[in-house]
Amino acid sequence: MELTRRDFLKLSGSGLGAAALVNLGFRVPALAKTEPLRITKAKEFTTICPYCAVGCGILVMSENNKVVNTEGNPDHPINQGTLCSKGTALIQISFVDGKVNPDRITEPMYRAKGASKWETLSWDDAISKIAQKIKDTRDANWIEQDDIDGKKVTCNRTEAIASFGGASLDNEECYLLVKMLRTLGLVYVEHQARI
Amino acid sequence: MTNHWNDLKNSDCFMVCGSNCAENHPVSFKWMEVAMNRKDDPATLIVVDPRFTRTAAVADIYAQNRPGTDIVLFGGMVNYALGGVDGEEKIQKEYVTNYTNATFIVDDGYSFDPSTGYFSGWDKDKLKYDQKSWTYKKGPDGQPLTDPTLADPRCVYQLSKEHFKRYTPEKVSAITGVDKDKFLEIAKAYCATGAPEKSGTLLYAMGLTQHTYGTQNIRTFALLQLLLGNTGMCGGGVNALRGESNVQGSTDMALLWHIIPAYLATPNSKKAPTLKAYNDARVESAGSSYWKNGPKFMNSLLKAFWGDFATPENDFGYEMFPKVADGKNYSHIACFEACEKGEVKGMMCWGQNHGVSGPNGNMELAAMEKLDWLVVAELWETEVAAFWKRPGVKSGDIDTEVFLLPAVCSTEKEGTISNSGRWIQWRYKAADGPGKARTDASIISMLTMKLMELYKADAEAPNAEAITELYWPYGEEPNIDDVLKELNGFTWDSNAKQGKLVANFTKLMDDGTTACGNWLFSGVYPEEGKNKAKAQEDNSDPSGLGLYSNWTFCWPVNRRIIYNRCSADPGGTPWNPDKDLVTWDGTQWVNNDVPDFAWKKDDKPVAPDVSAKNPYIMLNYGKAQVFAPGGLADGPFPEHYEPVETPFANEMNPAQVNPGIENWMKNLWTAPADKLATYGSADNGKYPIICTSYRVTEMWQAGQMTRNSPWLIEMQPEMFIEMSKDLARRKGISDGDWVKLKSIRGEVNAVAIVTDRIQVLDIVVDGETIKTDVVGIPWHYGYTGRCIGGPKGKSYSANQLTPHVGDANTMIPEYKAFLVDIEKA
Amino acid sequence: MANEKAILVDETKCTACRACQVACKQWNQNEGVETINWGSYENPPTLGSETWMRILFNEKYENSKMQWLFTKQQCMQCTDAACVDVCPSNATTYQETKLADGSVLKTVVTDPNKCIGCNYCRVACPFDVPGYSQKKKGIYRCTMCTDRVANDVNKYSVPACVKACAPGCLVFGDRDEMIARAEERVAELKQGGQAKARVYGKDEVSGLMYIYVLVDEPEAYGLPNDPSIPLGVKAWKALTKPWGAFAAGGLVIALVVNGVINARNRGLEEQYKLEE
Repeated sequence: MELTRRDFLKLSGSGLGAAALVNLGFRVPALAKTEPLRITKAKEFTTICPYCAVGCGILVMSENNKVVNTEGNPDHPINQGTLCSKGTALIQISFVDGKVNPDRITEPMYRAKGASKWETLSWDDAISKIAQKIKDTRDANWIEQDDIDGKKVTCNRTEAIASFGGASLDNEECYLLVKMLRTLGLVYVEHQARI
Repeated sequence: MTNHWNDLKNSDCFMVCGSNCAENHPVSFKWMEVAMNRKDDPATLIVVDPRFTRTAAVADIYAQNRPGTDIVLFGGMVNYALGGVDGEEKIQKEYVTNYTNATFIVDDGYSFDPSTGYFSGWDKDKLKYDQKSWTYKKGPDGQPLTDPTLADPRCVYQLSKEHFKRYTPEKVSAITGVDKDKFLEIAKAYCATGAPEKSGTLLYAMGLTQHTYGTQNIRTFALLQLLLGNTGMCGGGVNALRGESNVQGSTDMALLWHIIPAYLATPNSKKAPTLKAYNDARVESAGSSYWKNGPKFMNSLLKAFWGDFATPENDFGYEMFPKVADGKNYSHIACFEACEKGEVKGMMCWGQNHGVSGPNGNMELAAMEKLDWLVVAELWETEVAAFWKRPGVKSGDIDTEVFLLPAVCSTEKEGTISNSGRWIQWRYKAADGPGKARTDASIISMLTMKLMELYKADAEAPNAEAITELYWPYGEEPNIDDVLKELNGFTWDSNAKQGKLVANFTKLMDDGTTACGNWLFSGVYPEEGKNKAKAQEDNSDPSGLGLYSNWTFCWPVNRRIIYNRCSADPGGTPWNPDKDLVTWDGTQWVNNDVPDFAWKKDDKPVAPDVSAKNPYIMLNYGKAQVFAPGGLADGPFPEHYEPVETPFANEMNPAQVNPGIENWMKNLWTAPADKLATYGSADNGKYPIICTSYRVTEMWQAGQMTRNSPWLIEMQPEMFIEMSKDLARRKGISDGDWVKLKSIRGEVNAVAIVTDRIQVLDIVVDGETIKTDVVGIPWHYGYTGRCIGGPKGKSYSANQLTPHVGDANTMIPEYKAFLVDIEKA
Repeated sequence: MANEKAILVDETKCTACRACQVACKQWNQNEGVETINWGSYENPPTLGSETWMRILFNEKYENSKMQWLFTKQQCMQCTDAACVDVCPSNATTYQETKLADGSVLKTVVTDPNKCIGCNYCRVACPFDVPGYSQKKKGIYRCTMCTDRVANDVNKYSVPACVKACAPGCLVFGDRDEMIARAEERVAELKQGGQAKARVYGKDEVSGLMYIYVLVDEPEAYGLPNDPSIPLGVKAWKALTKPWGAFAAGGLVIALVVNGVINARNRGLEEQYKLEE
């Protein structure tokens, strides 16, 4: 669902909403660093904070695919517009000083054996190479049966591949991940909850 | 959390121990402040922490304790509640007799021997407990014998009194370092919530779990909560404040070795070689509890995995499902030990940076050098992705191939996450990710589709059908809405893409007619067009209790407070009329929350006496367990043991460390003996200072999400160590100096914060008072990113110091109490 | 007279989560500055052109009782502002912005085009607030988010710091009401045994637009016990105002200001501000 600012305010039942879009013509300080209402043209989306698990609501305002403002969602029952320092800094995960955060990874990268540097590669290459490695390692280190009191029992697992992480993924992603990992036969499946 | 964030406003007393919620869950204070500033009868905030934290700054009562002594503190409170200190009982007796197993008679074979520190059943050869005596004494009908008068010396209540009477205020003070009067002030304030109308809550986090007896830390307080009648109440409960935005969801989704989605056990080749064995075991251990429906959940999960291929005839593909070896542990610590031995060849990391967060960081990172390949999906070049260029190693010596895949962040994709209160909330996409970054869903799906292709071309490969026959209709960019429907569950229809959505998990079947990815999610998407995770318009709260029942969806079945039958007396009258979650009005139940008990059958009300017998529906016999009959590795009652690294002998009993980890200590932990400064070892004295680790509000977890944010970096730019003025003076260290911390496993540099917020503790051993130094360090820093925690070229990761040992039940590492020495750098 | 708006700062509820500090930067698009850990959580070490508010961390340990007192520091928006008095170029002035509810947002603002960078305002300020920026060529300080407040941004037209505050330490409203609430809270605290509880900002330098609830001496919070405009500034005002900026740089002024500087001991922080 994509909301314009106006829609959102209507949705949230704010009587003051309309006023927000109107330049009221009051004297605003000539000295303010930014033009007033730099967010007027932005579209507003709701999100939930990606840091701790309180689950605070945040409004993300973006314009031309660029996030221009983030602040607490006043309609969210848990935080009611408030946030902590991390949630308040949410915008900097994607944008710092108006530019894409330069520390974000933007292309698949590969580091060869013994290399001292990354090189870039295409998604197709990355996925093909990784899938082949998974297959080779899995097939070469397959445990088909356990010996239980002298009896062979099918166990269909590999102990040569481990997977970590998931607490920063969405639920649906965690599910796709667990489905992929378990059907591949992995048993070293762990994530942040353990550490 | 058994309760949820808004519910904090209903509490009468907060025990914050093992958590620093003002810093790590700051918005909790929105609701805690409401309770603390209530005009009538404001709530009391008690903070017990080795450091005076920002939470302590607003506390009514603060006590500084020695890290790793929580069982002693809580045990002392249990003793106080049971009248062991002043002869006056503070427990909620009606609750205790009706809703817990306090009345149950325990098997004659059960005992605890304070002269050894072991419970009955210890097997000296296997170094583990035979738990068969940790059970109830049964009558001829197979049901546990009970004594409703609580007088029988073998009933759980009397055994509790016996067990905890040793935790006297004097012992508490001697071991924890908390002044005796301060302890009594805490015990009195908290135990006041034993009044039926009052509720108190424990807010804890990793400060309690990250010990070799972490599970028992929480057990001790949970047990106190039961005795005081605080569980199932508004403003009560046992509340784990979870640290990552979706760690609740990722746990529900079972990205953990020992479970599969929604807390079903991971199949084990010995115990469950067949689906029948698996399901029978589930039903048998369920006893009277709701888990008897387990087979429906399991079979529906297998159906969701393999779709048409999963049929009753082939046990829904159960044979293809990987089974763990009986008795083998596959947790994080175990995995890295296998990795060190070269057994693990490939590793995938999905937004996890254990290059900073793993215990004994130097050992774990070195173990990773033995990997053939590593795949990391991330927003940043994290420590784990760049382990091959960490300070002190030559890249050329490391043969691991590494793939670093650019993922998008939370505002650049859509999907749901689950908060600590189990609310499943939808997030909308606000902008595209940078460059070629993709969603994790897309990366996982592309990879799976490629693997399906590879295995289709190689039908001879082992268990190839598990992959080729997957139900995987998602495409390169999965439709998240569809995946959520699969989590909710639907009737299986081979002809349709997805069948009819099920209303909730009571509609799931074990005959292959339903598919469901996670039974606890059932109800989040009960019908077409009704994605409840997106229900974020109605923030009304008609009950005034902060339930917000129309805001998104909460598992199970939108129940906001678990065990809520216990909020009312056996007759169905709320203990506190102002906290009326459920009420029997004489003819029917009037509910503010979704009842957690049998309240209606065939549309007719079920009288309260039925549910009063079974208020804890997920537990066998329906009663909460003050005494835990089996299941835990280290005992049915909590007992204090010392951390693996400690300057002190155990004053409570002669067993030094938790017997539940003895097997690991002797046989399994491969970390050489010289890598643990255990009590009594030659190295112990070289590291005389107790160190604990923690987080700060401005930084987060392993740092990658905050150490790349200039606004957050400027507030906490560098690794630091907090220490007392006294210790600093003795070591010639001033505020702002760089300090070197050393443990037996590594060293790390940090800036000194010399403060009165940590004091030298008085610990009493054999009647002699020993001045004890405690220092604290944050664990957010490392060696990659915009901020690493100090001048470049070094690693500032606290976990270079921490031991590779874990809890007897969960294997969560012991990060919170270990030994170091310090010097001016 | 129209109601003035003020921010109530109830320091007894502050948990120093510093959401306010980041929210100020976020809304006002100020950059993060480079810092080091100087033996404290408190950072950046001073206010400046990129840091218009920050939280001070004050520790007090007496009779085995620890107190960690947090202070929200920013331009206090004085009714009788030394910085306005002392400004030789009339760059720093009072500004009033009329709000939709008929009340007035009173702030002190500095026009960067008129600012000559003399730093007299910084020296004169009893609260150590303004900082000149070489990079931005001017003095920058808290605006009370005039742009948000005047334009009703996001439903609650409150300053960014107030909006972010979870523990309810910050409240924005009519000054009279904020004072009444502060006094009520102080009465409550006194009843609860906090003998030193007090309201701060009601009458100091003719009234601040930040009204504090404290439980100790202001100095324990890093605030001056008795903030006042230095005498030199008063003299300066008497001398220069008739002549305007013409007098800037004159000998008399230099002497007066020198006296003001000597009267204050700022230490290292001074250097930090000048560098920025």
